[in-house]
Amino acid sequence: MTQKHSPLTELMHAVLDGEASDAEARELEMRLAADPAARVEFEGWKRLFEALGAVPKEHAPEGLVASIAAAIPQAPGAAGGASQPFPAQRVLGHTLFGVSRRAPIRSVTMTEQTTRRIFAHRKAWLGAGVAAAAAVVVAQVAFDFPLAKDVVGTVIPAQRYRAAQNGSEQVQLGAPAVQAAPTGTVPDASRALAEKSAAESALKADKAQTELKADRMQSELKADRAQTELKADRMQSELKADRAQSELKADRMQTEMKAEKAQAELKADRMQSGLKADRVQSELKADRMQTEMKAEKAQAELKADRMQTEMKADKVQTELKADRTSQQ
Amino acid sequence: MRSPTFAAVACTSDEDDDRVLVERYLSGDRDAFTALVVRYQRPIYNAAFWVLRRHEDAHDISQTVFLKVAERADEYDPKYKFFSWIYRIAVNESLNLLRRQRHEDKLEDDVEIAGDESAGPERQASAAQLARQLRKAMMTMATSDRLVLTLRHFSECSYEEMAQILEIDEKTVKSRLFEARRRLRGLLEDWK
Repeated sequence: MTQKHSPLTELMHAVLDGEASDAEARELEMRLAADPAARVEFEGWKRLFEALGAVPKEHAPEGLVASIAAAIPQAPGAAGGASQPFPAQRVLGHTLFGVSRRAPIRSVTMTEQTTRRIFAHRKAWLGAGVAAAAAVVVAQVAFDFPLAKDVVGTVIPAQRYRAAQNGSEQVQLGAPAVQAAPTGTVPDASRALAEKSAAESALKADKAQTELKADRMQSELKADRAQTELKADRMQSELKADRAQSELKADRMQTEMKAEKAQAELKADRMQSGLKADRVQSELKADRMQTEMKAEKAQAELKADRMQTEMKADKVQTELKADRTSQQ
Repeated sequence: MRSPTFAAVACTSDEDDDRVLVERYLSGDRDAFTALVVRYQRPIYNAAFWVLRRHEDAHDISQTVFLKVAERADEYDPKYKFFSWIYRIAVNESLNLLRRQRHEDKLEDDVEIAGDESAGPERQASAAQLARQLRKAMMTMATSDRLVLTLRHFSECSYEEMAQILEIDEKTVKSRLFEARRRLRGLLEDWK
């Protein structure tokens, strides 16, 4: 249920909200100067506004920044992605939850529950990735692929190793007759042997490379994690400092408010004392005035008495004069 | 980078700076987005808390909001204030969660409603005491009242910014604010 409010109250709110124009602020001042009841109402609202401004704000929980920072995806449309080992979709699990990246904000179906799930499973995904890489390496070590003649064509890198195996010490210059007299089966056997060892070397090299890759990935992941943690730590200490400052500010505000209150009380006391003094003086003045009036009255009565006496004396003298004349 | 104080980040923040950070993030700098998180985590957390009145929910919503913003950073229109945009997402997400949970009338366990503590000889409570009472009173108010009071008094948003965030006209903002304040004052008077 809404209550109809007066334009004056509306003006008060606009001024207190800092939304009124200069002209409106002046108008309010004039109206308050002329209307004591409006002044009282304004003071009440002002007090409420001040108290609302002093309501302590909630502190975000520690670790909030770190948890968000760890899950920030690569910017949509950003090139590269050096700092993110997987594409954003993988990290956020969009493909898992069927979120359309282009859908309008209101229609996005990713709920806080899914986000929570994403946070909960993020580490699991990373761990699974590392485990998968390790499994590939183990598989390559554990299974010795059979070598046959029909795989020669597929082991192309073996050509490189075959050349390396024929060292210079095996080339005997000056004995062409010996070199040119091989038996019919030995070259086939030695070629097969060479091919096998070349294939093994190639596999070993591949394995080494895979291991290297896995190591590099792990160290990148480690570095990334360490950096995120470091960043989060730095942010948290900044937040702590911020909080400490806010608390200090709040303390200072409280002290100031106390001081203001004390001053207001002092002022009120002083005003009351002043009022008392005024009252006493007024009473004194009234007393003095009454005394003066009494004195004036007394003087007037005296004057009247004196005049009556003089009149009486005049009358007596006139009568005496008249008696004396009649006796003569 | 220092994180600014609460009053300095909400509707009063440096919008140009925000735009630069968004642009940097869009060109691949994830630290720029972390800076936005550090800057806005508190006001967003507060907005969510004052709608939901539960710390746990406010935490979850804050995470959701920032991830959503990161995901849609390329849709941000620099014509508008970044804060208005992110705050609108926070408000909508919080209201959606509230609707789903339907715990509108359930209060946070640690919230107590002020009783007779304001009565007695200390009738003229100090501003700090009054602020504490106000907080408790606000916790009992309707969501729409809490929302407008939070936006105006805690985040220091102007009528225009509130209209943008709540997607209503300024006249309605003024009217809702007035009613919320009147009801709040009524609550405080009942407790005297």
